[in-house]
Amino acid sequence: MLHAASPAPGFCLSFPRNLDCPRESTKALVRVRFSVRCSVPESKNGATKVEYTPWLVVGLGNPGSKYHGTRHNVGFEVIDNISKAEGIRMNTIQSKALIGIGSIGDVPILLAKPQTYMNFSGESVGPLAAYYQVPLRHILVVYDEMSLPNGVLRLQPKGGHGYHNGLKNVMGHLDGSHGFPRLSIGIGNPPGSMDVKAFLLQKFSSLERKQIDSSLEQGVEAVRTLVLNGFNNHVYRFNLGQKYKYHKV
Amino acid sequence: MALTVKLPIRFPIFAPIIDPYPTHEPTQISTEVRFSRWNNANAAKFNERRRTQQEIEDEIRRTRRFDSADKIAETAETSAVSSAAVKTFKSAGTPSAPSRPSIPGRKSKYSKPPAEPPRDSHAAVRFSSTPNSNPSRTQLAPANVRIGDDGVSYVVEGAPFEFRYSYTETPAAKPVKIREPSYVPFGPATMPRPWTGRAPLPTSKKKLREFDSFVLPPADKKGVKPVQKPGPFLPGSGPKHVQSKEELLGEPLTKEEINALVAGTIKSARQLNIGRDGLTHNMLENIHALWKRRRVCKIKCKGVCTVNMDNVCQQLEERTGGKIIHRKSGTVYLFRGRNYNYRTRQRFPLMLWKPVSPVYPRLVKRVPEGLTLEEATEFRRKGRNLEPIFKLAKNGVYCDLVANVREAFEECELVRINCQGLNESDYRRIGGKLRDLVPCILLSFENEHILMWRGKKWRSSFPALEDDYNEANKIDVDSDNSNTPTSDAPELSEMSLQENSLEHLSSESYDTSISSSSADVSFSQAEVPYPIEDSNPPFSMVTDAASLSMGTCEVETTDDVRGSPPSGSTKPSVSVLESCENSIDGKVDPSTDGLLDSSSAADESLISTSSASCTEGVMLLWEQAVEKGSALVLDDRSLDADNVYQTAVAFAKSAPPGPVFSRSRKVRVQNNDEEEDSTFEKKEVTTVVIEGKMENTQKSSEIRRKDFDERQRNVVPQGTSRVDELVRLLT
Repeated sequence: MLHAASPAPGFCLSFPRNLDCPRESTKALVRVRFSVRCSVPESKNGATKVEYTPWLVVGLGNPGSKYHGTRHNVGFEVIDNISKAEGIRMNTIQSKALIGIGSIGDVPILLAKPQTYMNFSGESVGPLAAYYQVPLRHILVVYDEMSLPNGVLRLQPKGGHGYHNGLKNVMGHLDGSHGFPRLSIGIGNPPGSMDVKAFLLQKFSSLERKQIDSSLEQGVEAVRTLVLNGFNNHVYRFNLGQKYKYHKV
Repeated sequence: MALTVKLPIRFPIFAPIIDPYPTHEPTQISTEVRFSRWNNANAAKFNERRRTQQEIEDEIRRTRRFDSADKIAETAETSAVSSAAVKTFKSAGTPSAPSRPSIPGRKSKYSKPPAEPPRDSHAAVRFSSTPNSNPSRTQLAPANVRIGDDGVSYVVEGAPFEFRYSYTETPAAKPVKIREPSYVPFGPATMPRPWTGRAPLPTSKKKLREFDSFVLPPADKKGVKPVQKPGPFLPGSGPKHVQSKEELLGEPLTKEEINALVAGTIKSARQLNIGRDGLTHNMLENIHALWKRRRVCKIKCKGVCTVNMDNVCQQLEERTGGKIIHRKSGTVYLFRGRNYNYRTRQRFPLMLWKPVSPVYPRLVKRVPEGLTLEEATEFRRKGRNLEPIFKLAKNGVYCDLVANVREAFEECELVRINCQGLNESDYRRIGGKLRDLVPCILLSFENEHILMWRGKKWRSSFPALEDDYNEANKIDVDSDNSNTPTSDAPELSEMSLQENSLEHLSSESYDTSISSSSADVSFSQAEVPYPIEDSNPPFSMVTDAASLSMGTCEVETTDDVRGSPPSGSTKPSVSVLESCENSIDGKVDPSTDGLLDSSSAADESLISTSSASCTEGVMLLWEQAVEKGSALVLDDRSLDADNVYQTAVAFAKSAPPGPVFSRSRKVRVQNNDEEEDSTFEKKEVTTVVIEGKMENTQKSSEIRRKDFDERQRNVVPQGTSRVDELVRLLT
């Protein structure tokens, strides 16, 4: 339930620097409060009906079998994994995206795979979010991130676009805001002086494929936790674990 | 006619005596006359030709051979005599004092050449009575210096603090011993004048002006190096002649003053550098020298000392008496104080020589405490293959190294840092600092890497959540469900600490299902029942995961009856039940195993009615969209990627355009009115709150809005950027 009136059992997050929060949103506010608003059943009295704000989980990628399994399409792969894990069938085309409606636990979610090409993903995400009345803080964008090493995930409550054209487009269509959560999946830097576009449209090497597969599973877990609990210290620990997962003995 | 040939050989002519062992006498080449013969230095080597070393040796060997041959020949005849002959003993000497080589000048491995006369004992100097120009170190130091407690600091009476070679790099550990006999590194109070061979110059009668910071040279005076005024002074005060440290600093600087000072110093070329030796004693003198002319000293630190920047800053402030006004990773801006006067500054003796180096105990112990030798070897072996978390740049800035190492220890007990390219002493020092700051134990420095262990006494900084995430991050699906009870228990207790008790109901259930990281139907349901009771330990509720979902549903209903709140509303339990079944619904679909057929058949009636109870609103919208024609449902056969894409493209042409996402939320409130009356108030409040937040970030969105002109929501742009505000004010 939305606890806005009462002092919400929110967790005041002070995210450490390494989660890459842009400065602008902290200038005006003292702190951004991410209270656990969506996943809590309002069950004091039987009068109020249980209602949860839906989440829109969008995976960015290029449509078509030609781009299946490429680096830029990891977002799609995560969405596929979530739909398999939660049993959500993606069978509807709406607003230039393939969507599926279901729920994780008590929280309704919409999985979406925009069928526009990557650079125009926002054209499908924006109207979709507006139609289903998903608040900005419940739009989770899953995309590939070159600044993270291969297979490392990171959950952020907000952030910049990091020169990701798909994300830039989505941000533009969401009224230019940064304030939506994201799940970045690391794909590593292009080796040497390789062309970035070529690198992104390449398929994964076998070793990388294995790392990505395992991290996809972890990603599904992360999405589940996020949807049910919101941003709290769990997320910070998750990020930490991901950052050092290849440095373990 | 007979040619009279004059031969040097006289009659009778015999066979010429060929000397079998010719010695090259100078007479043989005396026919070569090139130079004049009388007292010609150049000709000397030709006149009196010295034999080469080789010739000398040959002759000596030859002589000896002949002598020994003769001796043998002689003594063989008189063998009786020979036995009684006293053999002369020839000493070979000892290794440290070998005998002289038998062939003088010849290098031999059995003997050393004779000791050379000492270099500075030229005859002219040896017997003079003038004093040395380089006085021996111990003699002429200031008399009142003694060596401090830890053997590396020097205490001078009247000094404000102990002097050390380096104030930041001196290790905290006590040295084991000192390499040389101690001496005091400070120069003597008065240095004797070196000998120049002349009478001393008359001292200049000119009175040197003493530099006083408060009395500046007049502005128009030429040939004066630039000096900054003392200050900055708050309005209504002037330079004060004070001595104590706080007074020198004066009032704390205001923000504008700080900004002004820093802005002026950023571009200045004068800066001091601190390197691997940290803040040295003589650097203090440099800082004062810089403060003579400028108010702010810019110091750039690089390398080893940056590992503990806080310590560097603290030492700087303490020892110099200045204040740090700005600090940015490796750069420090040190303000001298409002009332600083170069004339009355504190003077220290300079260290003219590097002091004696102490020997410290080893950084890496072969068997660190808390480990046996086998364990230590095991760690070192594992560490050789461990991926390093960092590569340190040579002479870089390592400010966040400590924080990152602490973070890494949260995840793994061994951490390796790549230090290739650094000096060996540098990365050892870094290792030593890390050992003290991140408390950890150094295991090895091999291959130019630092390998550290977090130690047995390590405690995480996230005590409540450590167990949670160990579970949640497990890559392998935890099929052994017996593990989960133990892990879930701390999880749940921690969750109960943090969250509202009301939130227990659903959040915990799903938290535990998360921790299992498996999509196993029956397993997740096993966890659902127990959070209903807030205080009871959950152990009793954990059912065997392999049990059929039918069974667990039964357990659930009983628990529901037991545990539902006394208010009598069955809503929460129902909702939990529904949600449980919803999860059944969600999970049954993909996994159509024989196991669950029975359960799914039995619950079908329940499922169909209660499925998507939470997704009601969304499903409603979805159905509306399908009716309206903005959504198209595909059947399972055509879910191929290419097909989907083409269908989507085709469909998009015919579908009506969707709504535009805007953050002003006016549209939203209206929609909410229709949906839920009971929750209307709450939602409205939230929308207002959200709006308030969003407006603040509108400024940043202005830039982006320009790119997306298709949205023309408002005729009058609602820009809140500065320019727009100005425009609005002016019009």
